[in-house]
Formats: sequence, C-alpha cells, structure tokens
Amino acid sequence: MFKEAFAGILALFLFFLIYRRLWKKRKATAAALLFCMLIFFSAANCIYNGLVMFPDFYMDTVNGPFRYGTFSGNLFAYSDEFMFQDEILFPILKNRHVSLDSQAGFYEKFVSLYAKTYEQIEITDETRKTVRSHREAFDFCHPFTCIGIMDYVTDEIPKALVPAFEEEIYPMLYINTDSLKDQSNLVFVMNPDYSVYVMSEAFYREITGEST
Amino acid sequence: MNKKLCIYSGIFAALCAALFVSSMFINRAGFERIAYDSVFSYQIRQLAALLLILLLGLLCQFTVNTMLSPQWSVLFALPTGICLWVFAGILLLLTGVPFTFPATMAVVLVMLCLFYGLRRYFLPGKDRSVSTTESLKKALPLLLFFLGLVFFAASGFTYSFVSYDSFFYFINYGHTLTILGNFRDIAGENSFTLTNISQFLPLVHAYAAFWGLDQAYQIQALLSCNVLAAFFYGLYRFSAVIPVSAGEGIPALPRKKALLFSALFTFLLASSTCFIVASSWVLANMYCMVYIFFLFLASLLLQHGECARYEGMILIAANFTALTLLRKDGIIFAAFFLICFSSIRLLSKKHLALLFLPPSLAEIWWLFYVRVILDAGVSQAVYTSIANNKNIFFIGLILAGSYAYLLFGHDLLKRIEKLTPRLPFLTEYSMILAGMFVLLCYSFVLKKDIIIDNMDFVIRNMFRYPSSWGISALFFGVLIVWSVTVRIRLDYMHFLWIGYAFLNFVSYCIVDSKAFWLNWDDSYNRVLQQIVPVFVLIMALKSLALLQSDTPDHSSES
Repeated sequence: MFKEAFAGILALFLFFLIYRRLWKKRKATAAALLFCMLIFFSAANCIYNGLVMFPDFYMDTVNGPFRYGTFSGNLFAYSDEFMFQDEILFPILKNRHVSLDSQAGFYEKFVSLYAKTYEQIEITDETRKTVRSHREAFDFCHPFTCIGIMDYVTDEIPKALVPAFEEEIYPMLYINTDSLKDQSNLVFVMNPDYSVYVMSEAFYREITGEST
Repeated sequence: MNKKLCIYSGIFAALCAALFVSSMFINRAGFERIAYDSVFSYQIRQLAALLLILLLGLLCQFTVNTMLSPQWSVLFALPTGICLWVFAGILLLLTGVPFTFPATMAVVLVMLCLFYGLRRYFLPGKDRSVSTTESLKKALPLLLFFLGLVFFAASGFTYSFVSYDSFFYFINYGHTLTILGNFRDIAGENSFTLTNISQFLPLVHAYAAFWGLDQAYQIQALLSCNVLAAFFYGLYRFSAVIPVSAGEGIPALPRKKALLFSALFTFLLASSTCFIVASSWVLANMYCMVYIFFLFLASLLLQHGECARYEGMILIAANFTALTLLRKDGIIFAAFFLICFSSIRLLSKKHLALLFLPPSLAEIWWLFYVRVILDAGVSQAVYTSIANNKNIFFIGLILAGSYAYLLFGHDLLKRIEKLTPRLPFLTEYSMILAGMFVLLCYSFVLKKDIIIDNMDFVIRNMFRYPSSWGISALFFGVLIVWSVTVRIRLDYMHFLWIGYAFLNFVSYCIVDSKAFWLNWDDSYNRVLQQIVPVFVLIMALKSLALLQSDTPDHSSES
C-alpha cells in the first residue's frame, strides 16, 4: 500500500507542476478548469455513490459484508435485512401492557423498563409446548441482540447464557407481527433456552385456549 | 432580492410540508402494523421535537447576540439548542436531581434568563444593532428554509445507518436514562456506559425518547443539512463579502461567481462519501464533526469581526464543552483548537483561559463523579475506561499542558520565531508540528511495528475499495494541490487540519497504544472524517486565490 501511496503523491506533484504553470501563464483558464473539475468531482462522487454505496451501505466485516443502512425510511430502526432487526421490539413494547412468563425473570427488568405496564403470569410447560408448536406463525425470527443492553439494564447474565454470550450467540426472538395491529396487550413466553415468543394476548388465547 | 429569496424559501418549505404530510400516509401501514401508536401523532411529535429544539437555539441566539447577523444566528441555532438541552440534562444528572423533561426545560429556561441577565448587566448599553423585528425580517428566508428542512427531517425519509454502538450505547441507553432518570441506577459492577461512553449523544436520544420517539435520527439529519447550509453561507460570505484572504491582497469575488463557487464546493462536500458516511452514522463522531465545524466557523467570525468578542467567546466555549462531552478524546480536540486560537491571538490569554474553563470543569466533574461519587465498576474494557488511573493522568496532563501552553508555551515559541527572522519557515505552527513529529519518532522507536501497521491501515482505510471515503479522498488530494498552487506555506489554516490529523494519530499511537484496524469503523478513520467539512472549507478558502484574475465586483452586498 505504501507503494501506491507514493505513486499517488507523485501523480499529485505532477498535477501541481502542470496546474501551477497553467495558473502562472493563463489565470482565466486555470480558474475555469477549477470550476470544471469541481463539477466533475461532484458528478463522479454521485455516480460512485449511486453505483457502489446506494441504496444500501454495506460494510465488509470479518463475518462478511452486512447492510448498515437503508433508504426505506427510518421511523424505526428496522429493515428485513438489517443486522439488529430485534430493535423492532422497542416500538412493539411501547404503550403496551405485557403479560410476562413468570419463568422469564431475566427479561423482567427489560420489559419493566420499555413496556407501558407489565405483570407476571404463570404459564405451564404444556402451554409453552403449544406456543412452540405454532412456531411457523411467528413471522419475525432473529437473534435477540437487544439483551446486549444488559450492561446497564440487567444485573447479571444467567449462567446458562454466559458461554453463548462470549461467542455472541444470542437466544432467539420470535414475534407474531400479524397479531399486533391495534392490540394493546402482549404476552411474553420464554423457552428454557431463553428464546422468547412475543404475540398479542388475543393470539395467545387463540392458540392456547387460555386467558392471561 | 430578499423578497425573491423569501418566495423561493416559502416554496421550498411548502414542498417539504407536502412531503411531510404524504410521508404519514406512506409510513402508516408499516408503522401501525407494529406499534400501538398513530403514525400521525408520532410524526407530529417528531416535528414538534425538532421545532422546539430549534426554537430554544433561536431564543438563545437572539437573547444573547447583539452583533452577530440574524442569518448566522439562525445557522447556529440548532447546535446551540442541542447544547442547551444536553448541558441542562447533564447538570441535573450530575447533581442528582431527577432527569425529567419539565425539569430539564426549566433549567434551559433559567440558563436563557441568566444569559440575558448577564448580557444586560455586563453590556448595559449594548442592544442589538437592529431591532428583533428587523432581524427576523432579515432572517425570514433562512427561517423558512429551515422550516422546510424540519418538515423534511420529520418525514422519516432521511438516510441513517446504525451499528451495535449506535443502538446499545446511544439510542437504547438514552431511552433508559429517561426511564431511570439518574446515573445511580445505571452504575453497577459493569458500568460500561458510564466509564466508556460520553454522555452527550445519549442525552440527545433521551430528548427524542421524552417525546415518545424511538430515536433521534431526525435531529441528526437536520444537523447535517444545517452544516451544509452554514458551509454554503459561510463560504459565500468569506469569498464575496468579507474575503478571508483580503490580508494577502486577494479581492472579493463577484457575487454570481462567489455563489457558483460556494454552491460547487458545498455540493462537493455533500456528495463526498466520507461526509455521507460520517453524517448518517448514528455515532458521536457525527456530532463531533458538527461541533468542530461550528467551532472553526465561530473562530472565523470572530477573527473577521462578524461577531462581538463576547458572542464569539460564548460560541467557542459552548463548542469546546460540547466536544468534551461528546467523546472521551473530546478534550484533546478542544485543547488542540485552544492552541490554534492562541497561536493566531484570536483572543487574549486571559480570555482563552476563561473559554477553556467550562470544558475543563465538565471533564473534572465527570471524572470525579464516576470515580469518586458513583464508584462505577468496570468488568469489560477496563483499559479504555475513562476512570482508570492512566486516563485520569493523561486528562490531567492535557488540562495542565493546555494552560501551561497559554501561560508560557505560546510566548516562548513566539520569542523563538522572532529570534530567527532568517528562518521564515520556523513558525509557531511548524515548531508545534515538529514537536509532534519528535513525539512520533520517539514512539516509533518504542513501537515500530504498531506505527508502521497503523500508517498502512490509515492509507488502506482511505483508499481501499469500498472505502468509507469513496473516491473523495482522491479529490481531496487535488484540493490540497489547489490550496498550495499560489503559495506553499504552512499557515494557520493548513496547520489546523494537518495538526489535527497528526495529533490524533500520535495520541492514538502513544496514549492508547492502539492498533488500528481495516474497516470503516476504525476509530482513527472516523476521527479523520470529523474534520472533513473544516478541511473542505479551508481548501475552498485557499483556492479563492486561484480566481483572482477577475476584476472585483463592488456590487457585492455588504
């Protein structure tokens, strides 16, 4: 890379000599050239951005390129191809009442902070199995990276999760988004592996036959 | 002219308002499918949040300023409004008063009254050179233009991108601050957000969260537009009305040519990939870029008599403090600019020392709070924690060094400069740069491999495809050539950007012993991007000399 940098500096020096000579001999031409080059630079930037960078910015990371931004509007930080898709949970929790699985104590502080209100409910293993069996009805499925905010929200990570956290392997977050529209009550069901199923209370009632 | 401008700005505002209204219908389906909220209410709140913070800034500018033109007051309004909110918020959090929206707004109002009172007390005979009504009339086109920008930013159709840090350490953490209302409930065994994150940006996101918004992208988008507007207006003023190169015998440009020149440079900046990346990425670097730019602008205004001394001082002190609260290394940026301002005698030593007091106090107070009062623990990133002994020592060294420079260093270097009249290249700037170079050589002896690798990474990060600089880094090379075509000399302007890049490189290599990495998010790469608007403005001002063949047009407005 140092070789290329040296070549670049040499090229600029050559340009400097030519431009300086032009400026000394023909000031008006040098000035016109400056304007033309500015137009060219801006146009080239636009073309480059259009071809390489837009509509989405991709960044090369050790785990391969991933998408960082999108032009699809940004009222939420949410996009189907986005790395932190589980941010969708924040607008979902806001203004809603959550019935939280009493086994999901680890998520209690998280839910208590971001939901409007919450209560703990007893859920049997049988009901959890029923919820799991409807897995295909949960259209949103993404690693739950949001619990990375444990630094200041949760007291400690459960022992079972420590190795997974160190490897950055997060539990899964499943949401039935179709059931959310106009619903003010949610149910949070947790699996033994700390995966979370989020749905409206109406949907929960529909699949389990139980009320919260 | 003013009437025409008003009409154009009015049309722009109306178009943006139409975009805002239609955006609600476009966003409705996606929004209401997920959130238990109305998109209309959400976007109206988004609009109101932007208007309020802009209004606070305007109020501050119009109550404090007497000489600064209404146009500049409008251009400085948003960064000032954000500063007011953040300073008030951090004051509440550090004093243990619950951090709520009404309490913060009350502190902001008290601050405004205090500013107004201080102005009336210390400058009793000094009122605005023109009445407030007259000022508003003058600023009307720009106010309408900003209203349009506010509508545009509130539409949600702006570009932003986020990484892990954006979410967890700025957006979600800011949101959490509004719920907990204090730092004590955040401090624990691993208080990463207190020891490794500066609090400015979380507080900006807290402002949005208080309005029930999910993040503060709209503020960031408006701020980027604000930078471009200030860049354009500044370049136009400094090329057509008050040429910064007048001292070198370079006349003002004819108005039309100055407009074209300013527009082209603004477009070049706006289209640069590095500017787009820096201004869209939700990180503190974007706000650093903004405050460094406005700091430089404030110094130019003060230097060329565009504002009263006290106005310039307030602007500079606010920018210094903002930088200090924005990043852990913010105090280094502030100290560097302090040295730059001292070297051109922008203000007297006493005044500069006074300006540096708010950021110094903010830094000391924060360190004392985290280390002594909260005793915040760290289990991750122990070595980068601001509260560890090494960092506290370096911050102490920076603060003491900056004041020592003000007291003795500046005079000493000036004396050396005067003693060597036969060596014109031996200026204060070149001596400071030489000092940095010696420091780099010293660290090269100690950490040769790291420094060679770091230099390699800097170059690769700028030019490697697809780099976060795009092809703009190549074009910036040409701008440098233009800036030295007429005269090759290391002057204040060139020292600003070279010194900034060099100082940060040295500090990263020596203080942090940091190995850079090959990616967009490399810290030094982002720190370099922060100076881009200032760099392009300097290059544009330097390139003015290349256009001097034309006969000056004295019809330029004054």
